[in-house]
Amino acid sequence: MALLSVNNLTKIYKGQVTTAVSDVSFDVNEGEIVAFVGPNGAGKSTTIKCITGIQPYDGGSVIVCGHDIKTDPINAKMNIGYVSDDHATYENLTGYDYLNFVCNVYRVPVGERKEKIQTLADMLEISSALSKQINTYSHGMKQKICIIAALVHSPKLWILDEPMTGLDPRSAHMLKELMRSHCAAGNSVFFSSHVLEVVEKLCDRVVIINRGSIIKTLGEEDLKEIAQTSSLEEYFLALTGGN
Amino acid sequence: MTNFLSVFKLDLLMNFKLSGGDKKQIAKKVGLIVLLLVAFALPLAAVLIMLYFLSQVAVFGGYLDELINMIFLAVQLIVLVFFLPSYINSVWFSKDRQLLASMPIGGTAVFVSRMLVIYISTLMISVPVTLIGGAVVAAGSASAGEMYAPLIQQGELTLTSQAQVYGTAGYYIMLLLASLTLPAAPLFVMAILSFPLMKIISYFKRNSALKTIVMLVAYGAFFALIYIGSFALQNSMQDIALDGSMNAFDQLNVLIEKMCGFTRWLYPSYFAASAMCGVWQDGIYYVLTIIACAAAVVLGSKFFFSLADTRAIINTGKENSQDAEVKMKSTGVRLALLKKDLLCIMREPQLAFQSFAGAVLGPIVLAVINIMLPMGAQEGTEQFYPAINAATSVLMIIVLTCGANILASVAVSREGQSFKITRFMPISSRDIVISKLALADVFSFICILIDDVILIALSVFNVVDFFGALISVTLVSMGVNAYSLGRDIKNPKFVYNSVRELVKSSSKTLTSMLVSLIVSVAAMAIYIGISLSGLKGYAASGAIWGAITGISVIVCVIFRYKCVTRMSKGIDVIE
Repeated sequence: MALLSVNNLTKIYKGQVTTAVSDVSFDVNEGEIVAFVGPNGAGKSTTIKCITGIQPYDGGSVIVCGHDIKTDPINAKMNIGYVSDDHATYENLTGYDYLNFVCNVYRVPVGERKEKIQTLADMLEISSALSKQINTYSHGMKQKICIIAALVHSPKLWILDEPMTGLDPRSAHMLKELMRSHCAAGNSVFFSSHVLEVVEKLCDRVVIINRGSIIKTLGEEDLKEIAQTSSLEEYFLALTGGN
Repeated sequence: MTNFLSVFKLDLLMNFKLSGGDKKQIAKKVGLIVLLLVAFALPLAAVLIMLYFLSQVAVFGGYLDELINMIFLAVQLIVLVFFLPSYINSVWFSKDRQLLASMPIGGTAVFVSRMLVIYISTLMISVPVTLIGGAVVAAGSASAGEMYAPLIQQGELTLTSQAQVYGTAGYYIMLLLASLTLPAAPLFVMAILSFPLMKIISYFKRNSALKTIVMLVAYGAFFALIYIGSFALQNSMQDIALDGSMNAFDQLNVLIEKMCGFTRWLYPSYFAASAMCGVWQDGIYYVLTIIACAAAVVLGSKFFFSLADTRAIINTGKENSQDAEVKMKSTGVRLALLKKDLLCIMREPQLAFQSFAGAVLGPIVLAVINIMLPMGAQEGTEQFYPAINAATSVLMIIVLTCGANILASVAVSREGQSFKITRFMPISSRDIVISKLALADVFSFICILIDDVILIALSVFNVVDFFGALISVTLVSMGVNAYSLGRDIKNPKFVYNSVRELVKSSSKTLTSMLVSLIVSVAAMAIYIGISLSGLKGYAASGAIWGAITGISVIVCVIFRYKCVTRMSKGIDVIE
């Protein structure tokens, strides 16, 4: 069953003639980890912003767990946990203030929230910082608070935009484990990344975008075949016009 | 001063760029400024007329230099009071401090550049006020001889040499120089004050809410002190004998002495005023003092910046909340949004100060105008004063609670890049609009209530006035808040370097002020009109508030009609 279904998604930014993304279609099924890769400016972040409801789009549809993000945004978003590429949070709130706000918005019962936050915070080794204001956090700590905020309501679909950026090796490993365990519980993960080694090892499928259009979707078999002959990096470079 | 020019060019661009060259936006901004000037033209004209007549009299007693220094003092006080928060914000707390610290740019270059930008901003007040004031004083002193010719001929009055200064080139050269250099002294004071103030602000960084409260109380105390000073001055003027033992000119001289005499001790601006009145040596002292101030600021900046460490500015403060018991409460989405907004504002002291200053300033202004204005009542005019007081109070309440409330006018923009969080979370646009309106409306209501209590306590308002003002001004504020929020949703500004850039350079805050000003002038006119029509007591109050409520309902309905739906759609299309 597809937890995320993107059909012919098209987006044109105000005042621009060319499309930022054009006729983008793909699915993310239950239990899958799907990577979204492409060169800089290919349309990855725009697609993710349209999927999460941050950007309005001009054509096509985005269905999350059976709910259209345009016509039924609240129910669609209730099923998404999102970690943005710039770790957007409310900098003047403390970690606890922010997470409590997120819990209120996603209707996480009071009895559950403290335990969930504590478990995730311990796992990501950020518990001692939760009482401090987010504007005192380092880059990696902000990333971690965003990960906790995205997972605190146990979303069916976890979307991450460039999640590995700024994480130390230990935290990056922990994040990959979290992604695997999230999928093992019957949920899905969809993330964009430039770190093709991670993508190669972690994902069930890879969607490649270039100049606003999907140019290839690689399944598990394709990935195995590529791994045997060369590497995903070489394949990606050849496909997107590199050497 | 490494890379000073690069930083200065950037600062000029950031602070004075008029909407990126968009002619429509520039015309809009200029139009708004003109409209605001027109709105304030009446009180300004009254002050200038008073200045004209005072300068006519001052030339007989030799008080012209003190009178001119009074204008200079006003300019310097305005600069000090209104630019100190901007100064601290842009010099020490701007968002690009860390970025600039990482670049090969000298600390002094940043300091001097920021100071020059503030200086240029202050010229927008200093130059017009000083030049207009100086021109009015010159015109007044020039007409003194003609105006009082009979008394001079009879030998009852003698003109001093100050009556001739309007004809000297030195007067105008020094006036121009003063208009360009008057901000130097307050800027020098700011530079000295800003460092300890920055340290205090940094100390409170963990307790930002407490800092906001401290700032608001200090702000209120400062204004209260100014008003108490004026009040004391007013009281001292009661000493002027009106029993016939003093002639009119002696009385006026005593009045001017009490009003302006103390300014002869206020240097360096007194040097400039004195030079304008013919003592040219004082002009040299003035120029030397100003150069010394500027040099001290530039040299001192190196010392100040070496003392301040960027991380210390951002992160100092006691980590006292780490072990605090964490309490998590469940609330609805709208309340969660409102609480989040309030926390974010309270923990951004500059924004909190701009947002909540009206709650402090309003009661002080109302208390002072209602205590002081009746004291100036001339014999035979006392019966008009209650109506004039009350009408002025109505005008002030509307302007201070509706026009100065920025909670709605930058409600979306103030979130900056964080605004997208509410976009990817399951929060409807309707909830965002309602929570933002609720915050602005509740704050307006609290301010109106406080102001109302002050007015009923001072017997300016009766019970009907109290409830009439509470209802009608609340309606106006609801309308203005909806209008302001609508404008911000239509054209949000998510990228800004400082709160000053967000609030002061925004045409949205100006238009909210303008709408409130128009409504307040109409309400004032209704109040005075009905009060003078012969109606008395509760009947008059009932008629007044009935009419004002009518206008308020119209304002509220016009701006509030379908606003939530329209704004929700507006939020959906923000890119």
